Amino acid sequence: MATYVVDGVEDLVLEDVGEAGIVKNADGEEDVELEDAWDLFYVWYVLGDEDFELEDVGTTYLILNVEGSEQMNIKEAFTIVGTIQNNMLEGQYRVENEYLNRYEAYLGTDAWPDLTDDLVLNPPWDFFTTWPHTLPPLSPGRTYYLIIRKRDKYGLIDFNVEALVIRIGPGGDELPVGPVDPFISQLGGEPVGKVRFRASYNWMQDSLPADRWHVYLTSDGSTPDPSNPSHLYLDVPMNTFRVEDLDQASGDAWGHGTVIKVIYRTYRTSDDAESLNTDVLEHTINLDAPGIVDGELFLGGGADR
Amino acid sequence: MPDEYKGSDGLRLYFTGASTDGGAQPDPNASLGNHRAENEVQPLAWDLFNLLKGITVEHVAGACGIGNCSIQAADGDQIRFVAPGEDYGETEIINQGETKVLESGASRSKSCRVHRWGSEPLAGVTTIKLSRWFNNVIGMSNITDPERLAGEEKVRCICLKAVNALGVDSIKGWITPLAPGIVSDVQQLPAIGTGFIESTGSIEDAPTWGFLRVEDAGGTLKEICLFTRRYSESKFEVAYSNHRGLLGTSATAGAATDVVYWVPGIRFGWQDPTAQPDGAASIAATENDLSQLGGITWHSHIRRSEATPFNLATTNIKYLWFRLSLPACLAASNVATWLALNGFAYDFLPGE
Repeated sequence: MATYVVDGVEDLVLEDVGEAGIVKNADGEEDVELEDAWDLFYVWYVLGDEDFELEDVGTTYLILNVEGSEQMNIKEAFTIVGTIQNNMLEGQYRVENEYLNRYEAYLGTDAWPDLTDDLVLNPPWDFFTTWPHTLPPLSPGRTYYLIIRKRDKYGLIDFNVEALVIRIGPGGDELPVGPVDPFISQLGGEPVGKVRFRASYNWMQDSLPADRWHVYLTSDGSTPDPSNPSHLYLDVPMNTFRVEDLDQASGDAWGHGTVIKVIYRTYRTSDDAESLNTDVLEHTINLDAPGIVDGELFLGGGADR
Repeated sequence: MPDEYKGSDGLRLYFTGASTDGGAQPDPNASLGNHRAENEVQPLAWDLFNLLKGITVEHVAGACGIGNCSIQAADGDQIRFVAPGEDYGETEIINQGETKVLESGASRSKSCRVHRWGSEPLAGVTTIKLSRWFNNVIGMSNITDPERLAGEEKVRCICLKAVNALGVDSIKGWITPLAPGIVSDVQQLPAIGTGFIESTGSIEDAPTWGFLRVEDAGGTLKEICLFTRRYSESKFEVAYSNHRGLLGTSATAGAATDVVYWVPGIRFGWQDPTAQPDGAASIAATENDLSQLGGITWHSHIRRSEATPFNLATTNIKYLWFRLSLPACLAASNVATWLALNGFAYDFLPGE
């Protein structure tokens, strides 16, 4: 086996089988397909004082042989050996940084914070290494969403250690934080001018779950105002076994064309805390086609709670 | 499907650190020269699911890449292999006691070597989940906090052995760039000191720390530097002046036509054994000891066309050293995190 450096780019490895004189410069050319698709664009092989030439024209190679017209299979004169084998070796390591071995606090105002893990572009609001730790003061009149996470010396961050909602009143006092809002809510028609209230509440998001539904309703086209006691249309306990779902028809009926607007809120009796939902749902009474809402709510079947 | 020692199996990689050729030494952290060990370097970690009875997977080629591959058996003694994202290779027969190299459909380099020791008829599909190793022989050990602050040099040594009966030709090696290059057409580094490299292009999944290789438009190496802040996948800050001119290069003013590659912070060098086919390499007393490696020429090129090829006659060996060079990162409060990937690519032509 011999190796010939070809054109400074690639090596062509051929095995001479002792018939070295059979190929030389010639005029004719035939198409010969190499068995192995080498990444060669041009190869030139010198055999003594006689030349033979391979020229890549896509996936086919042309051979100029001694007689000029004879089809020349390169494997008849030479044994092409092997295929270039490409391989690689990879490995990973980490760099320790004890400065990162800490707890990190991420804070969102009126919304959960961005938790994109990028210490340059999204650094934590505060960090500390020991408990207890006093966080920086918060401005009054806002609701803050705080998440504490643990990072290790390799920069790997854990899931939430703690997630809190902190409500600061205008005077700087901490106020009770209501339960979370309903996450699915619907308002549909019922026969004879009634409406059906449907909503779901994910009790698992609250350490102290809500226990009642509040439905604020108007029928005069105005937006329901939860601060107006007269707009509280329905105040019902959550079902013991289906605590998260509200699915109830109104007791009242309205005339054709009446616009009904509602806001659903969850309510916790123990500390008189209500969710802050302001989403308004609207339904126009249609006695001919009530527009009944049907189907399971997302958390329907909550008896397995 | 070639027999063992042929195709991609014609050149095997082994740990070093043995006291005699072929001695047992399975620890990648002790692969620090001296003699070739019997233990093969496994480029990828793998987990097997649904084992084929009587079949042992001995080796999976690094060319397969990460992902799931499969070995499918049928009709008692027929077997074939598929690498991640490819089609099955040819179905062949493997008899009890045989060792075969199974090649995937599209690429013969993507292969695995299996041994059939059992006599039970083969049936079913084994799934092989391939993943990158942490802290293998090229990943080396983690950088500790004191090492990060003071700077660190680490080495490892592996041994290449031509096991093909006709030898192996045209062996070439190069460092694997970790992403395609980008042109530093927005900001470039000054001649000395700190600065930014910024491009209208981007390095996908760029880390928050990493090495950058700066080449001129013609592909000539200008400088390797370390960035410790990444503002986007297009903008990188070399925040410390001692992070310029690394891995044997010197700080050089950048140009708007320079091409920048995210690369590992390693170089490699070849060393002949004291004798063929079973001589020793130099010895690093610890992973930080370069005192006996002065005669090695260290390379950082990232293209096969820049590699100088060499041949190995059958049973002959050659040693390959990897050298990691991390400059001192003096700021304890530097908050960047770093998961680093080292990669080395090579190819060869087996004699068959």
